[in-house]
Amino acid sequence: MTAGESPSLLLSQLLEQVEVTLKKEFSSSTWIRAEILELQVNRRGHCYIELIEKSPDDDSILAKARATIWASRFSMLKPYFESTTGIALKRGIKILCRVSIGFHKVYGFSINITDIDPAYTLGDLARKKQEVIKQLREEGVMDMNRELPFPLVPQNIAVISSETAAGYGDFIDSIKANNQLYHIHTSLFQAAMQGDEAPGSIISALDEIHDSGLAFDCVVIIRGGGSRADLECYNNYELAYYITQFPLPVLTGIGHERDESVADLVSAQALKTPTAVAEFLVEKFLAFDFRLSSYSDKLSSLVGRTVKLQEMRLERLAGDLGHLSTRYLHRERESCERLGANLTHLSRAFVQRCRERLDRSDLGIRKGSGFRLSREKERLTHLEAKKELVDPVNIFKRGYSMTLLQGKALTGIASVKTGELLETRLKDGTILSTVEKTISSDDKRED
Amino acid sequence: MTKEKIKYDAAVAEIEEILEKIEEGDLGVDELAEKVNRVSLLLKICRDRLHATEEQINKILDQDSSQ
Repeated sequence: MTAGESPSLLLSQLLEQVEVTLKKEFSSSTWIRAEILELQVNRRGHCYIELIEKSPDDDSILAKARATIWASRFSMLKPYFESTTGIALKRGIKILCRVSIGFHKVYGFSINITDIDPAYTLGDLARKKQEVIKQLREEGVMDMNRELPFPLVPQNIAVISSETAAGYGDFIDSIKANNQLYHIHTSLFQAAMQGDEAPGSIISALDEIHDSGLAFDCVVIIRGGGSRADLECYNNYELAYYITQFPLPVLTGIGHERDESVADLVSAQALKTPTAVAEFLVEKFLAFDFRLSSYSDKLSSLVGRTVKLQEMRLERLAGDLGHLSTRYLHRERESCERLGANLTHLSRAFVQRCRERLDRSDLGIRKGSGFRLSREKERLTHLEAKKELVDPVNIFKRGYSMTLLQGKALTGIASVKTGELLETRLKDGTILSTVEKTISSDDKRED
Repeated sequence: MTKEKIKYDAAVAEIEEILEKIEEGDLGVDELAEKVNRVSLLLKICRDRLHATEEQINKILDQDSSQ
C-alpha cells in the first residue's frame, strides 16, 4: 500500500484537528470520579496526579490518565480539601473533581483539575469505615478490648508512638509532672504513626510488646503534631482487629477532631490527645489514692465508734453493777425484814397457841381435880364410916371387950397361965383380974 | 492490781454472767461482795485494755497519715 495517491497531513495538522475537535466536544468542564494512584507536587507547586479507575469486581484497571492541578489552584484546593475531610489529598483516595480537557501539540492530552468536591471523598471514606466496623461487629470482636479488666493502678505502660512526635513529648511531660506523687513507668515502642505504613508498623509494635514478656498494665497508642489530616490509617481493618485481640487494654490518643477512628472505637479507652491519655492514667492513681484515704478515714471512724460503743457498754455494765448490787442488797434486807416480821408474828402466834393450850389444860386440871377431890372426899367419908365401924370403942359400946396380957391383946388362951394378971378393957374402963383357970372351948362342956 | 491475762470478750462475758446472777438472785450474800469486787476489777481491766487499744490504733493511724 502506498500513501502517494492519498493526501497526507503533517503531524501538526493532525494534532491541530484533534485539538479543535476536543475543544469543541469538551468546551465546558466536566465532573468525574476517579481514584488517585500517584500524586506529586513539584518545586513550583504544581500538582501532578495519576488518576485511575479500577473494576469494582477484581480491581483490574479500567482507565488511567494523568491530571494536573496548577499551583495557583492547588494552593487553594489542598487546604480546603484536607480541612473539610480531615484526610490528606494523597494516593489511594477517591475524588470527585471538575476537569477540563486540554491538548497540546507538543505535550499531548491532559486533564486539568479545577475543583475537588470533598463530600464525595468523605462519603467514600465513611462508607469504607462503616464496612470495617460492620465486619468487626459481625466477627463479634468490637468490644473485646474494652471488656478486659482495666488495671486499678496502671503503673507500667507500653507506649506506641514516634519518639519525635510532639504528642509523645506532651504525654511524657504530663506523666512526669505527676511522677513526684506517683511512679509511672513508660516504655516506648517506636512505630510510624501516620501514612499507609502506620497500621503495619503499629501492629509490629504490638507484637513487640507482647513478645517482650514484660508485665505491662496497658498499651497507649499516641500521635500528635504533624498532619492532623492523616488519620485514615486508623480506620484500617487489620489494625483495629489486632487491637481487639490484644490481651492488654489499649488506650488511644490519636488526636481526632471529628469522628473517632475505628482504632478509637475498638480500644479500651479513646481520648482526644496524648495529654488527655496521661491525665486519664494519672486520674486512675488519684482515684485509687482517694479510695485508700477514704478507707483510712473509714477505719479511723470505725475504730472511734467501736471504742465508743465498748466504752458505753462498760459504762452500762458498771452502772448495772451498782444498780444490781443495791437492788440485791435491798431485796435481801427486805427478805430479812420479812423473816423478822414473820418471826415476831409466828412467835406471837406460838405463844398464843401455847397460852391457849395452857388455858385449856388449866380448865382440865380444874375440872379433873374437882372431880378427884370430891371422889377423895367420898372415899374419906367412906373410910370414916368404915373406921367408925371398926373402932373398938364402938365395938365396946355394943358389949364387946378386949383382954390384954402384958399389954398385948389376947386372941386365944394358949399363952395364958394361971395366976397371971389380965387387963380387960371395956367401954368406960379397965378391969384388972387374976387368972383362976383356963378352959379350952373344946373342954367347956366338961366345965 | 493483778495483771490478769484475760481476753476482753471473756472479761465482758464474765461481767455479764455475774451481773445476771446478781439480778437473778442466784448468789449468796457472802459471795456478793466478792463478786462485786471481781466485776469492778474486770471493768477496770476492760477499760484499760480499751484505752490502750485505742491509743495504739491512733498511734498507728497517725503514723500512717504522716507518711
